[in-house]
Amino acid sequence: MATANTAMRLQLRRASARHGATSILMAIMLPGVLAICAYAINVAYMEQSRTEFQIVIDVASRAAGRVYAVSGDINQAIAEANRMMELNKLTKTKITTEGVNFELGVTTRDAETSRYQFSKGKRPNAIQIQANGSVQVPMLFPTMGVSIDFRPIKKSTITKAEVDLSLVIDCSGSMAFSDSEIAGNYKPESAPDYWTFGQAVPNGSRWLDAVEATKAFLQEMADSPQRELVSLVSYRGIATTDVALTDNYDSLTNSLYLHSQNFWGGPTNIGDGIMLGSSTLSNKRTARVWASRVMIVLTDGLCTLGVDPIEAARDAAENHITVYTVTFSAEADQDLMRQVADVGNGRHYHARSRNELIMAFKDISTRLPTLITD
Amino acid sequence: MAAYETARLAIIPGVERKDLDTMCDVFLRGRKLQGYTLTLSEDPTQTTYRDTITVSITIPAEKCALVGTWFYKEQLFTESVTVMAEY
Repeated sequence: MATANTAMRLQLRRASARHGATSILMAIMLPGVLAICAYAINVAYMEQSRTEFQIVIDVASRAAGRVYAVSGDINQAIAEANRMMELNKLTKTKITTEGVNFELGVTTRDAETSRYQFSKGKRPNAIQIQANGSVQVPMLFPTMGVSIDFRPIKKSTITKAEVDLSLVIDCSGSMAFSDSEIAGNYKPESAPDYWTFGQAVPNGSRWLDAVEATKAFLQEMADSPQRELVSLVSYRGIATTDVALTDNYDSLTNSLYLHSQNFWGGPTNIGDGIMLGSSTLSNKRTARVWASRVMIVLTDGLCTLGVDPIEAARDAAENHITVYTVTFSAEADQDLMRQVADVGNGRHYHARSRNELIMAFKDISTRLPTLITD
Repeated sequence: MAAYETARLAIIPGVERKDLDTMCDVFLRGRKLQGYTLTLSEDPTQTTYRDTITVSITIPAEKCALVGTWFYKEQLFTESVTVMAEY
């Protein structure tokens, strides 16, 4: 009996001794475990901050790129980037434009599958924002009792997209009249007495205004650093592809000149014009699959023939083509063309003069899309 | 990331609310996160060039926690991204 009691007492003493050993072990290991936890949380926090930092830079560069594409003013672009950085803060750090570098440059690529390359150039089409470690982000927990920061290195490049573009231009009979006249079956006021359709279009006609606006637009395209392909579709009773997608803009102006010299007129088939414009942008031989697709439809009058222009624009939008519409003269059906632009995810313009027409085309050239390329 | 990708989508012309909800679903439900709330500061169809849209996503913290959900009870996580309307 005494032996059994002694054994039990010994067991209890050993168990008590083990309990003490665990407490000591815990006391020794706890700081280490907490340090590992703090390290793991710091690493997770650092990764989260790096992602947030990239998002802030992307949002800022996107806004700056868009403002630069529209205004051409780098100071406005930087101010917009700053506004976006103010509105999108990191958890514990505010980023300002002083902590990042802005650089204007040219971004191009050689083929569909290659990466965009940013470099310095004379006619910039891209803005690059770089954070080269000048922004300090504090860690959540100190390391070895010392508060430490990390400095993310991130960059974002926004580029004006390469565009395939179709100009769909009205060459119906009303285009031979001036914008101050009401078109009819009689001859335009500025035309000589012997004038008939098929001869050179009279001076002061809407057609010649459209030609001037188109030339100004093509000059904007020629001045841009990207290689934009442009096609020309004209429509009256029927629509015809005058020039397939090309970067030889002279061929478009030559085609317009030929129309000016032999202006046949006819009814206004806007829907067929839009469909043929879509077709030129979808041509696998000439269109670039990576380019954004844009169509500009110009008309001065009422749709008198052919398929519904709204349905044609809807088809174009389903093929990822953005449709802009430009009307001019008091006779134009602005409501219809506004609907066409809405359905085509574009914008409608109405011009009351040659200058307004040119400005409308220039405004469209600034609205061509931008994208983040790096 | 969900707020950012939804914000990017919100500035595309012609986008509808259901498109934005779908984008959120792709990011959050794809990671088994449910019960979130998507809030937009503006109607994307009414914004014009240089307006801002703030996209906020709020989710109960306990839905995101792997362990110790009791610890986060009634706490909410909110992430927001503000973008500029481009058109």
